Amino acid sequence: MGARWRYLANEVGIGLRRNLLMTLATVVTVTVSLALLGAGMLVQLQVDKAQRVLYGEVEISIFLLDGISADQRTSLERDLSDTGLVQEIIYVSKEQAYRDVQEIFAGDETILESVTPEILPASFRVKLDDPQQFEIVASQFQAYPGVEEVVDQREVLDKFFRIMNALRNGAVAVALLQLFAAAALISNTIRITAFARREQTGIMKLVGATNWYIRLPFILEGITAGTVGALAAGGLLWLGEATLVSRLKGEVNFIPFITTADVWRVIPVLVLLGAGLAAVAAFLSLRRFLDV
Amino acid sequence: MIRLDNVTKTYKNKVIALREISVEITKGEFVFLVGASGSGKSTFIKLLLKDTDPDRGEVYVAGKRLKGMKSWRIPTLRRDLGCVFQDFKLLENKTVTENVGFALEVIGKPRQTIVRTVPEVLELVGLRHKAAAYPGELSGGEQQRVSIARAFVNRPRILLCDEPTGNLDPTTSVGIMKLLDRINRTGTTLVMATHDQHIVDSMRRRVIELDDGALIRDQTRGVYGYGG
Repeated sequence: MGARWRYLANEVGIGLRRNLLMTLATVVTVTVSLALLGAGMLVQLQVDKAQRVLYGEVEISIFLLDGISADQRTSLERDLSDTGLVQEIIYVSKEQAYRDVQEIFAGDETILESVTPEILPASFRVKLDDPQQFEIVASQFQAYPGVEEVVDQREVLDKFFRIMNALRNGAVAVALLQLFAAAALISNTIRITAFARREQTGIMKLVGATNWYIRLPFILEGITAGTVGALAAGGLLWLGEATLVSRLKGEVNFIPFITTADVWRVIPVLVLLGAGLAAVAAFLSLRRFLDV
Repeated sequence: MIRLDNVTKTYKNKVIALREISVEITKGEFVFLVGASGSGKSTFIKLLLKDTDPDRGEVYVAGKRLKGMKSWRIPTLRRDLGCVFQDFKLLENKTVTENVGFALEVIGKPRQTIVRTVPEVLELVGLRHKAAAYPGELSGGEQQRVSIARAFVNRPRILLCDEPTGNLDPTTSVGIMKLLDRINRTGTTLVMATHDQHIVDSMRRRVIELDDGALIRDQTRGVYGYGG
């Protein structure tokens, strides 16, 4: 077995070095495609995370007119809980709303300067047992005395999520194109390697080397390039998380963000994809170019 | 050891390479395959290697029926066959030792076996002193000896030689023939396709002559041409 492994390691090394530029192109393409794909997966994770928390926390905001009387407010709150559809009601005063804004937009001076407690309406944040019943609650309380507007916060969030989903789809689409390019590059590299090694391959066939023994160095070369590309993509994602997302985290703290742990969850998937794609591309091109 | 029954082989361009060939070669024989270029000698050897398949007829090699043999079994067949060609087919970037060892390495033989066997076979072909040389540093005759060493290192039961002296001068050729004769005397069946009238005449072994794909002569202790 010793001789066999040494032979394999040798062949793979020689093959990768011989086509250094092609190998580099392959690795870079795999890296870019898998980084995009990984980014798409992370965006998806991000959306899931934000959705879970945001949808869970905010269902409906009932904004109150400034002139609402204490009695109107109390009866509104009582009628809300009497509907039997409501899980939780939180009263947000104008002062509380101002503090929330200050917290959310901490550091953003232009917004903070233009906002005062007076212009922010007081509101009830209402959490429904079943978020789908928004329409019932909205129609019932839209015309309630002292109510300015009933807003389904999910609609606001949906806009944000639509943007995120579009980003994800774009990333995945470009990633798939890139993966195709990567497969083509791997196939071409193998064709060149197969041509450079045709004498050796011919001799191996003559002396009775098995087909798999002849194929294996080529396939391992592909897998090596695919794996290195995937790991590099993982590195890029990690870097992106560490810089971009970490900065966002410092500035926006009303939604949870993906963490390094999420990046670690994505990397194995990328490695499997990179290695698997390379192996398949290699195997298919071997049938064409190696005739074994 | 080798048997062909009514073998016919036609190539895609309708060229008939072999017509209704039936021949049997027994263990330990030394057989010359003679005939003009294009008479079917190379096709004959390719059939034995299962490098190509006949249109009709049966080929048996080393106790195996080649028709319907699964492609993954072909390597096992070829481990029983050694091959020597006119153009040596050595790897230029490997030394003599590495070229010979390569044949064992790629069929998964353990390192110890390779280290032990390669010098033995280099001794047999008389190239022990060139073990570390590269093919480019050797003469044609020496390169052919390396090629024979590689073909024989796994002790195949059959050695197939396609014009092994085709690129060599007469004196060198005699040396190669002496070597092949020695290998044949170890019990290895030897089939040699050749153009070399002088060699065939001097060796006086069985001669099978092909002409335009047909077997026109099969003679024990024969010569290259009729009446030769």
